[in-house]
Amino acid sequence: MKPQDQEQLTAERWQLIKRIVAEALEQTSVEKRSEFIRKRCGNDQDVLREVESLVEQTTGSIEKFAQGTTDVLRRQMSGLASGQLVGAYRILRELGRGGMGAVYLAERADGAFEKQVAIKILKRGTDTDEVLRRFSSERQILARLTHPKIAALLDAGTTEHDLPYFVMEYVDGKPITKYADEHKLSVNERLTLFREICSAVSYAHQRLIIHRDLKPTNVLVTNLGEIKLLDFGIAKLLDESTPEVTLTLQRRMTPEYASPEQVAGDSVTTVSDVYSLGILLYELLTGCRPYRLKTRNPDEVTRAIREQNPDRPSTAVTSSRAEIGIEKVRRQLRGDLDNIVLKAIRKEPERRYASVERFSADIRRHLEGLPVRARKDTVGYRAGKFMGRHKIGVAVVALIMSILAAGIITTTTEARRANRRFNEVRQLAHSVLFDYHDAIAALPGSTAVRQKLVQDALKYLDNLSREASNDRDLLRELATAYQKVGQIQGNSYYVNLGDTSGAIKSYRRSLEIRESLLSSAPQDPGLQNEVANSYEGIGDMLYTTGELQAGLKSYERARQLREHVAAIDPAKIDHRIAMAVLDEKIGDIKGLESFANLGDTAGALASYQKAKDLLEPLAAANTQNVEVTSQLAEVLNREGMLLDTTGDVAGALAMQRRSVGMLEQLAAADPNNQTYRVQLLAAKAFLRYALVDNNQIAQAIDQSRQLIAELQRIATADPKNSDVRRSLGVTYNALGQDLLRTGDVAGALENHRKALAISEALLGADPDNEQNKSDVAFTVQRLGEALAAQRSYKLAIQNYRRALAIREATLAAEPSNARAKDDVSTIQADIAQTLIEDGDAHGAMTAMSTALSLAEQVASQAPSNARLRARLALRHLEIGKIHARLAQASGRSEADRKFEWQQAREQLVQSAVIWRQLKDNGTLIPLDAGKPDEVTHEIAKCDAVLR
Amino acid sequence: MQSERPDHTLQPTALVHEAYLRMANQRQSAWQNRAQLLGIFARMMRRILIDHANARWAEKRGGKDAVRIALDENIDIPAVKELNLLEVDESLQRLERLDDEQAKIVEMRFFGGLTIEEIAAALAISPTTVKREWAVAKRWLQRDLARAK
Repeated sequence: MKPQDQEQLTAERWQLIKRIVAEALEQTSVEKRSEFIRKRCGNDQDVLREVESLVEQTTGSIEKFAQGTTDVLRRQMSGLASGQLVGAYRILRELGRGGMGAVYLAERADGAFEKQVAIKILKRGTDTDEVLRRFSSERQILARLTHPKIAALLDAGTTEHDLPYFVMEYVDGKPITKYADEHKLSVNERLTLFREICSAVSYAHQRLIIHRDLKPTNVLVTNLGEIKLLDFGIAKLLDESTPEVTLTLQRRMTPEYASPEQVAGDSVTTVSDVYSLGILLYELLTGCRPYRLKTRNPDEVTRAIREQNPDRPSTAVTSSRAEIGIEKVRRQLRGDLDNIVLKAIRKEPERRYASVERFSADIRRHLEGLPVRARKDTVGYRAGKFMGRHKIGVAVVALIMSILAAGIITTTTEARRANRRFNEVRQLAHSVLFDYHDAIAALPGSTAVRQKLVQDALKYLDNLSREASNDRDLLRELATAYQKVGQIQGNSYYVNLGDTSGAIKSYRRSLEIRESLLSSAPQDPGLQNEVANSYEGIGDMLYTTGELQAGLKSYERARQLREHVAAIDPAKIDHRIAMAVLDEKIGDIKGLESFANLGDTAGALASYQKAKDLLEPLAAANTQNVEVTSQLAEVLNREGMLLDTTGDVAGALAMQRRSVGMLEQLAAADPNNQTYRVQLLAAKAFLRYALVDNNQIAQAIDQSRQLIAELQRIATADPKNSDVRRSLGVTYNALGQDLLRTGDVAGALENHRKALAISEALLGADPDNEQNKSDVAFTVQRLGEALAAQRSYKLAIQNYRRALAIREATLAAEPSNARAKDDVSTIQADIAQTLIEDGDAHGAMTAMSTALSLAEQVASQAPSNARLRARLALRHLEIGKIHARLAQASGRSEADRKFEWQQAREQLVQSAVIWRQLKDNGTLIPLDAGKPDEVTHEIAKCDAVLR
Repeated sequence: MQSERPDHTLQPTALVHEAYLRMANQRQSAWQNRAQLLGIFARMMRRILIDHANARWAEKRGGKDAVRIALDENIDIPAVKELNLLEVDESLQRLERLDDEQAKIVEMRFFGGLTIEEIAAALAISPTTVKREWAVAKRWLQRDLARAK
């Protein structure tokens, strides 16, 4: 039967045949089987022939095919989940993936020791038994490798899937090149740091251990500036267990650091490490690698490494180091450093430095201004060597390329095929974006997968758009792709990966494309809507980065477009919800006090009202519509927060209780929905603030403890979700603050420290994110307060200053940021309070004066904000008390004392006036109830002296 | 410090917008568990692989003998020498026309890396059924591949 004949085999007949074959295969003997077949097929010769042919069919290559794909894909897709056990260790989360396999953060399952470890699990393709045999024989040698700058190799074994793994000391650091750039290290600082690596490598060489895979990602620098070398000895275990060099090369993520003798498969010595260190130094000094590689094709890489002559570092310096001044760096590199680096990376091992020690010593000589050993390479020598090199045959290496970045082949002869492929690719990208992405978005723990999906699709579309730049539909898809990538990268309104700058870039590209499409079809409501999406996304990001005025404009533009769209189709609920969402966001940016805002409380309340006006009727008419309900709950929540700031604590509590109630219903109806859970948690967190203001501290503490437990569960399930981790940090801080209010200083310190660990990690991962900076500032300020409470004044001040630096930078970047101004004011007040406890009344006075003047500015800008008025009253009270303290200081004249008492009284009276106003307006919150009496008492003290 | 305002809280919780975007899709696709997710991946992976194989073929102009299909540095599929991915795919397409569910099982097995149990969970059938279907399907495929040559 030819394939086309099979088409005639009807599905119905196939069902019959299939059943007979399946059952026949289950018969226990050949005889029984033939008898069974004969009986079941009866007289139908066609069916009999078909069944017999299938039963006799061998299946070896199909099985092999299935096994091959299964093995690889399974591991690729599943990875190891948090909580899974590998040997004696429990996986916490994935740290990264590379050519060799994946690396996970883990801890001892039995708690035998607390230190976290990194587990590197190799992918298939290595001979597991051989690797392990080698490991046990090398174990003794590697165990001797104890050096503070070398991450220890602790253990090895095989996973249940038979993959070899290594357990190593976990190092939380950055690649040296990244570290140096971020800290803007000078050339000499880089050289000094580099010499530390040399000393560690040299230590290992003395013990006859060669690294073989030195590259920036294996040389990490911790936050404390300590160097740690990773993977010592591992490359050897691997290389010698796989005979072909090509495999070694394949495994490397960055073959650029391999020496010519390594890529040629010749013997590897300590001088090979000198070479890799040389490449590393080249990159550290110039910002680029010596070989210009157009592809990752191993053939080309090999050729480049063995044949290309690198540029002198001084001419290769890239603009990435430009902040120091490119010319200055060039001058510093020219001469000695050029010669040193080039000597280290000579093609011929015998012409390099004979040891890492000598390499390092030459750098030291340069740093000390002494003549160096390295000399220029001569042209004649190079030419002679070039001829020789071409004779050596190079092993053909399998092509490694990223399929997803593959371009589309379009030659004229292949046009038809190309066209088919074009459509296939497009269909694929489309389904990745519009089906798969949304399908998995609701699953917990899916953030990383989503990013990969969307980025892969983006690469596809990028390639496509280059080939079809006037295909409008395609461009539209492309813009949507950018929008989605932006959202996943860093939009804090969504579950995101915390990459702010990447997100902004993606959104802007999406906007560019859409604007150009809209310009040729300005009335298209679909396009208008999409342009509005872009503006809204950009607004979200500007809000995150603290550019509030620009963000507001972007939101308002989006709101305008949405209104156009909604007007065309007034019955459509979605459009109205989208408008309400923008109203809410506009309200947030105008005046939501707990975040960066423009200080316009009245404007914010008006915007929330607009949102409510849109949503309340929709909610009444569509009681089953969860979108409307959840959005309304959100707006109520915001309004509650803002009411709280106007001093209407009772109104705020009511509003937030309604919001929590609505969300509890939603979450109960759809318990798997992650979003409702997070939203409910947030609403409860806001409720806590109202509780605090109502002086219900015990309930607030209770609330925070519950939140922490719940957030920890979510964070464990989705460790890459930076929002959840951030929320956890925020809640630790909240708990710390409330514990401090009850006098539990130790508890406060513990929780603030936990919060700090989180916020610092998040900032490290996304240094451009204003919110992350703000979190660190907030946390260290709270830490300062707890430290001051236990009389560790110096430490407290240190923490305050760190917070102050961050807040002042934020304020300088956007002077209309009322929140930042208020932050600077409260930190200065904290500093003043601490200085006075520490006996520095004059310093305290300076700081408190700054705090007072800023508090005045902020309060006058938002007259309806009772919270800011109360804070101003508090500043007057505090400054009054400082004057009183100065009046009682020793060694002052009677006239001075009297003057200080008068000043004190003046400030206290101003404070009393404000408290009185608040009380009369009914906006004095329960938490502050005792303040007016305190002020009266202080005034009485002044009067007693002045009388 | 008594009256200091507690700072910002959880991220602006307008995470609700995500729920809003998602709602429309949720109705059509209630992807509840990992097995179903892997099923989706199987379909996607198949397309990616075929796409790549086509590209390689085009590159080689008729050199329909790509033995090794490299995805990226992380995914390396060692195809079996005597079986060409494009031919397997074509054969699988013929099976699809004959028996859609059986073809789905094969797809998940080939391109999704799913175990018998996971396939059973994804398709809501018993593992015994999956095993039987697979036993017959692989025979059919290998025979079909031989005949197509």
